[in-house]
Amino acid sequence: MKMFDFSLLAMEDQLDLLYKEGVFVGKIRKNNLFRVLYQYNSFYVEITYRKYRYSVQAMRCFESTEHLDPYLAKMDIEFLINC
Amino acid sequence: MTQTNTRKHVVLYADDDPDDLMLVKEAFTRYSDNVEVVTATDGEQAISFLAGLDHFDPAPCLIILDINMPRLDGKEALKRIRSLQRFQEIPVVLFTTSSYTVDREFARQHKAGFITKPLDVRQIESIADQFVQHCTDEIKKSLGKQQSQ
Repeated sequence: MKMFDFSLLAMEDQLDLLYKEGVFVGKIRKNNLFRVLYQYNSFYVEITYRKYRYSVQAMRCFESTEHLDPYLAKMDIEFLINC
Repeated sequence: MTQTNTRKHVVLYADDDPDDLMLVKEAFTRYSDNVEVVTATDGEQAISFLAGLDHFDPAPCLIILDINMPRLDGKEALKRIRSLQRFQEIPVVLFTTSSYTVDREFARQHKAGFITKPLDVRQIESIADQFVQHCTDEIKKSLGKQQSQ
């Protein structure tokens, strides 16, 4: 499925697809706002929660990797360096 | 690690994400008369808890393990749990953001369940029941009685 087709789905259907087939990339928390990022096929989906894992405030899809920085900054890559 | 003295059934849950720890504890509140959720923040802590039980202490009725944890991850913790004779048959669930078939297969090979972390309220509402489904029939019956009271 391409990003455009995904973006046309209802939010519940988008969440179901991510739940079954998405690849979790990371989570960030700023104040009381939680964001989690999933990769789905060739694009990314960021979920912003009003209440963590309960109530979705917004979802956005993107293909550009420049939005990944806040998530990559939180990743522990020490084990890769030590390989 | 959090624990209080109790005669309730113990669910041991290891996860390094404090928000997920809170979420699962909240999900089990409906069973709070009979179940206490003991939390650990990595696999080492979970193993230490189990190793610290003497023969008169009841074993947990369920162990929930996140996969990605520091020090000792959930898959290694599961292997260690299965290597301990007392816990070879204890119900264990890998609870993770992963939906990888390889992780699901790993769980199956080690006689563990596999539940993906929920993404919204529809999935959360059933999460405690999904966990309880992995307990022994005796525990399910005991918890079922509480629910019907």
